[in-house]
Amino acid sequence: MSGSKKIVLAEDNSALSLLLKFKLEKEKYELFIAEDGKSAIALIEMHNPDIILTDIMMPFVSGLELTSYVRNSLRKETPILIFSAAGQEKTVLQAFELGANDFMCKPISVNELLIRIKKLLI
Amino acid sequence: MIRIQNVIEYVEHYPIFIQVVWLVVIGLTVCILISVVFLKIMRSHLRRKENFIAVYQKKIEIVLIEFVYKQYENGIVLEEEASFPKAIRAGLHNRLKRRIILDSMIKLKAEVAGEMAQTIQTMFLNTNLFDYAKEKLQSDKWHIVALGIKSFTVFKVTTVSEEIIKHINHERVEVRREAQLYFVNLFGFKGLGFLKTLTVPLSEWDQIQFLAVLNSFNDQKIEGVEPLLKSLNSSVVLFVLKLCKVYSLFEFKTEIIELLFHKHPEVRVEAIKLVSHFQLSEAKNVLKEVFKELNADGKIAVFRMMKEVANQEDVPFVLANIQDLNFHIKLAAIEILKTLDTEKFKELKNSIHDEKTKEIIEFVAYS
Repeated sequence: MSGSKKIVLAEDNSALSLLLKFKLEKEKYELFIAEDGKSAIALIEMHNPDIILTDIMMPFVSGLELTSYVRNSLRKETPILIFSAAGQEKTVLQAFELGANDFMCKPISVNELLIRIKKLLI
Repeated sequence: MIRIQNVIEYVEHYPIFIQVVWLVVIGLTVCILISVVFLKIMRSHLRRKENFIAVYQKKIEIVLIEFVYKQYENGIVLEEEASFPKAIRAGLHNRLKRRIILDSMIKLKAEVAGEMAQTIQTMFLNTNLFDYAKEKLQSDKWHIVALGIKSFTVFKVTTVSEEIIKHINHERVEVRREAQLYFVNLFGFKGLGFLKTLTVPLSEWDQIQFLAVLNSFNDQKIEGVEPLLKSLNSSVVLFVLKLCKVYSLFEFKTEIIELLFHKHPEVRVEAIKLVSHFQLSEAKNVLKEVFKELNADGKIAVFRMMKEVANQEDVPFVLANIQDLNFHIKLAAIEILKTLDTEKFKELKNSIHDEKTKEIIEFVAYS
């Protein structure tokens, strides 16, 4: 069912990226991993994903800038889920204003993430 | 050989000064050559080490995540060290590899919750990583001690609190901060007991961090605040005043009013702001009594409070301070007077000859 769904993950923590790769690929999603916002933009333009998962704090281009770019420059309505750390509530609000669809606070539960992804892809 | 002898004989004909210069030149050339070779070796060693760290870190991350993920999928948490991946067990006996393993575990622990986090924690507790972290607490190097405490905070090890409390007044702020965060992160409000023994100042940043951590606890039962309000460490008192404000601790109003007489001006000002925030009218008369002894910030804080709680009986006090040299106090006094007694305000308007005060009165009258 979810085999054809593409996900771009923008996350600079290699351990988390690898863990999510294990889980999401097992669930038959096609995952493209970027270590920073700049590479994520390239992957989004190249693969036109069904959903974007992004951390807020990243090198070169932040999660906020990435969200803004997808909504305002690429004019895409692709669902965007933001990962934030505790204490970044104001930044999360900014992300919603820029067009993010959902957020999860770190440390994240992989099962909960999966449910949210499925919900956003409906 | 003959050529060298010729050169030496040739140089010997020069004056002594030239000979010394030649010696210095030769000496410096040799030094530079040795330095270049040394730096070359050092750089290639560092690059090799850097490459090794990158490769080993990647390898360990994969092994660690595979293990954690497998346990998570199987719904079990293996506690025996023998059940942990061979690559990790082998690396635990080498200092550099152990550091990389620990860093990878901390990195993952900070990002994931639930059973996966539990597996990583079990690995920390059931390997020699725990013992090494404990050893770090005894180190003479401050940064090693700080790292040791941090690992106990990340892996939520509560059993070493007696070791860590010894570092609460450490001479290095980095160690103190880690020790304090250990108690707040692991024990919440109960962990604030360390403030009783704290003799060094708490920075504003530390206080903000503590409040952020405390906010994340479900158990919001606050105990033991009363003695902290009497602490000899004024930064502790300031922090507890913040706690009182954030968690609306009205029950300590007597202690807070006592702080209006605190020897430290900053504590007095914060106490005034808090009684103003709580609108403790009983503090008003106390503040009027000590008003003259307060500094400008304190006086401004009193008048800000007065704006909220003043009544008719405060008119003489307000009138007495209407000619204060401080603009903020003067403005607040005129505004309060306008609200409390319109007649007296009109009288004031007609009796004042000072141009600046007149301008303020005009502004307040039409605002």
